[in-house]
Amino acid sequence: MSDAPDPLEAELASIRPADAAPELKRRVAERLAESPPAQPRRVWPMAVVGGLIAACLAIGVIRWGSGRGVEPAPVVVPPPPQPAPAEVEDAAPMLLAYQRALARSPEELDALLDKEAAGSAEVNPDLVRVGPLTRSDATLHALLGKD
Amino acid sequence: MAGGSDQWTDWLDRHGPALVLLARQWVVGRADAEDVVQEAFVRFWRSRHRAADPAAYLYACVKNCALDWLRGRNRQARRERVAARPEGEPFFDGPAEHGERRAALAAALGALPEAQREVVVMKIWGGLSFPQIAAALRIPPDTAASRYRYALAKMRVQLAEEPIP
Repeated sequence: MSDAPDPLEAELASIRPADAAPELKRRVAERLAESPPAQPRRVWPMAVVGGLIAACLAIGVIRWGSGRGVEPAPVVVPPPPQPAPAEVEDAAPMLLAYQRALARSPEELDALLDKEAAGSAEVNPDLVRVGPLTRSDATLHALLGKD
Repeated sequence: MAGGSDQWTDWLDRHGPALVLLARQWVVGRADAEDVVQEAFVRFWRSRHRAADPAAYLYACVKNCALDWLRGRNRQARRERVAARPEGEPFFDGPAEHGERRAALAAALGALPEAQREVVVMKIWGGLSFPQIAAALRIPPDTAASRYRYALAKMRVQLAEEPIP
């Protein structure tokens, strides 16, 4: 713009807008007197900082949780099988019975042992009896494909 | 210097008349314009520390409050009531012998488009620089300067019949 003074600009600057009513200043003073001084300026930055801290914590927790998720699942070791209570109950009386029989007499112990041996010698029906080979060597070689 | 005091009364004394004149672009009645300036000034003073340029921010507050006022309910009826007043409320003060010329200047100012008129008010009576006006109106400084030049050119045409001393 030119630095030469503009007559119109100078004329406009020479007139003054109508003054505001004195009442305006009084009302502004009342409004400003009842207002808390610049409180939002303190709350706003604190809210932002608090939000950032919360966001960082949330990100950290999420990353920590996802890192743990990559680890292999813990191996579940089944507890060792507990011996059947009946067997324990059976074993103790059996040993006690042997001791009592021996205390009474060796013959009584022998009788007890014979009785137990006879009970355990019963044939298990699931077992297969294996007999001797009855085929000749020539027959076996033929079956196996050997000369 | 558009204002740098830390006393709100200094700001209001310095800019009050120009602020009321600016508000009257959108608010017809002088009393309503002062209501707008009151609200805008209180908002400005409470939050002025956040503004990069407080003077530009003050004028922006007045414009925003005036536009909010226009959007308010029952404003249309109030505007019609004010416009129906037989006597007009003068925009400018001054000696009576220059009354006609002042009226002609006010008429030429009032005939400007809103975008140019607000720039003239801020520049002439607000004392803002073009960068400050640009900040207040959120326009480039070159745009503010060109609007000002166009406004003066239109006013010259409007006042062509009036002798400029």
